[in-house]
Amino acid sequence: MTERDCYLSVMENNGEPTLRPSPEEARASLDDVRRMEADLADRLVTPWWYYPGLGLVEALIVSSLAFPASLSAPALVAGVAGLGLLVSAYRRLTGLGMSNQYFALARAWSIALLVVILVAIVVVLLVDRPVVTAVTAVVVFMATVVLGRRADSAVRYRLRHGARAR
Amino acid sequence: MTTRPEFDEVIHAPNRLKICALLATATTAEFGTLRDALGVADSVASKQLKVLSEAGYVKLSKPTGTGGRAKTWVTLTPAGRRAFQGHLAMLQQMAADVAQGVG
Repeated sequence: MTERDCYLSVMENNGEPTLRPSPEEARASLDDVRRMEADLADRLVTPWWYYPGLGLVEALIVSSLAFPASLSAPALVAGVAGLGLLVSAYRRLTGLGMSNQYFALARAWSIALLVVILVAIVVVLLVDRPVVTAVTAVVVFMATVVLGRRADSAVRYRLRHGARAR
Repeated sequence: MTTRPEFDEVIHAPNRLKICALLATATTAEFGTLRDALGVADSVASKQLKVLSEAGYVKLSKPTGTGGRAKTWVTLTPAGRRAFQGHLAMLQQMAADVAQGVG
């Protein structure tokens, strides 16, 4: 057992450290953080159905804005419920949450997807034609699948290459 | 907003630092996932989580009503995130100092 291990072992067992880490220990701790982030990147394996499912739900939510009043609210509720089910299934499967930190690690792709969705909402609200609504829904679906997977890759890359512990 | 570098005794222990590092990104993780990521026994993971929980850095919850055996989920609290970021900033500062030949 090295001196660092000994010192840190005392900390974990008693929770009462008496020493501050040396610069070398600080670097070793940063290496631990890097390894943990790289391990997390390996665990963040998004199920194949997640983004297609998310795309369908988002397409439903966006197109529900053009539905007749009697259908609009139920479609919106179904979309939001579907979103909750997807996130819950992802959590159960991976044992990990998807937080706003995920958004921060894949900022460019997440913003791009957000812009597509906002533009789609504006188009559906302004152009009240079924064909336009259908095409917009398809665009939202495709954008979610493509940009979502790109965001995943960006998150994994940043975690493997030291998102924080640089 | 910049993070103030601050040594945190609770977080600095290796397994607790690793737990916070994982939760800083995922925010929430299932107990078994955390234990596997640490590569330690249940009892070791539980002990470290208890220390973090008592410090107010993580919150443990056991959602029920989904059927089957309820699993324990661990969530990093805002205080835990602040403490981890401050501790990480301190480690980075120390590592940078040694790289520049200071201290």
